[in-house]
Amino acid sequence: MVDEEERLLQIANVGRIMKQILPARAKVSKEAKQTMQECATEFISFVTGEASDKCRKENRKTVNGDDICWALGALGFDDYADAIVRYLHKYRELERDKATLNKASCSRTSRDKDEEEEHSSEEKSDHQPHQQTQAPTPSART
Amino acid sequence: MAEDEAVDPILPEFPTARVKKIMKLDKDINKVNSEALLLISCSTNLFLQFLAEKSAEVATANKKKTVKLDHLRTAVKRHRPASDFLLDSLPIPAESTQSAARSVTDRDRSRPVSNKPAPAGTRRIDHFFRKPENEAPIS
Repeated sequence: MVDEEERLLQIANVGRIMKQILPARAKVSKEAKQTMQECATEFISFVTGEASDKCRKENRKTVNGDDICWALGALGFDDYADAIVRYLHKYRELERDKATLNKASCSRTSRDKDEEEEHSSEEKSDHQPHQQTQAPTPSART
Repeated sequence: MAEDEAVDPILPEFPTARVKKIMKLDKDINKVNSEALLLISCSTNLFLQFLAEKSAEVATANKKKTVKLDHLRTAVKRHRPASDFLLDSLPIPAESTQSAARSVTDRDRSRPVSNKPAPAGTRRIDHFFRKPENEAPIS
């Protein structure tokens, strides 16, 4: 059914992560690297499973970013939760910028129209109210 | 400033496709959105970094240059959340399987049966599994 290799992260990735962390002269046994692959899979399954259970209890079908954040905290990985939340905000910011860039490059003719659309899309994409950055309201519009 | 470069600046080298496959191994998981995929990739990356760091510390403490499975195991044991879900999944180390094999061969001769002579009037249980030599045939 599922290829044994497909249930593990590629060993090259694991090796790279270890190399980044370990001192330059340190070596890692093949067995340890292979075990790290297993650890990664276990971690992914563990956290995703927990997040998925929460979704099911709340009658939701799709696991989202907030569910993952919650699961990390619930399972004792609070240290990661802070870093992860920062990643999430950065990701959302990038997505918003991408959307803005796309819109700007698409229609250059009617700029007024663009500004109105940007303003409304910003309101839509900001899910978290505390994060919402209000675009400066155009002062004099005719 | 190509947009291609900005595709995944957060985790440029993490195999998100593989992560998604691993998440989907669990049949109970329905759908996962892109944010969730990103966060799982990030946190797995952090977790592996943590394991690498702690394993290296154990290796160094034992004055070894090569990080081995035992060092990883010790690192996992010392971290409560990790040990809860990970300890049972770690393979049995080669050294202890060897010693287990040795002790099994030692025990082979007198397996679970003790060497004490059976009390009078009784038979040792392993007699039942031996071909009867001197016993009268059952009629």
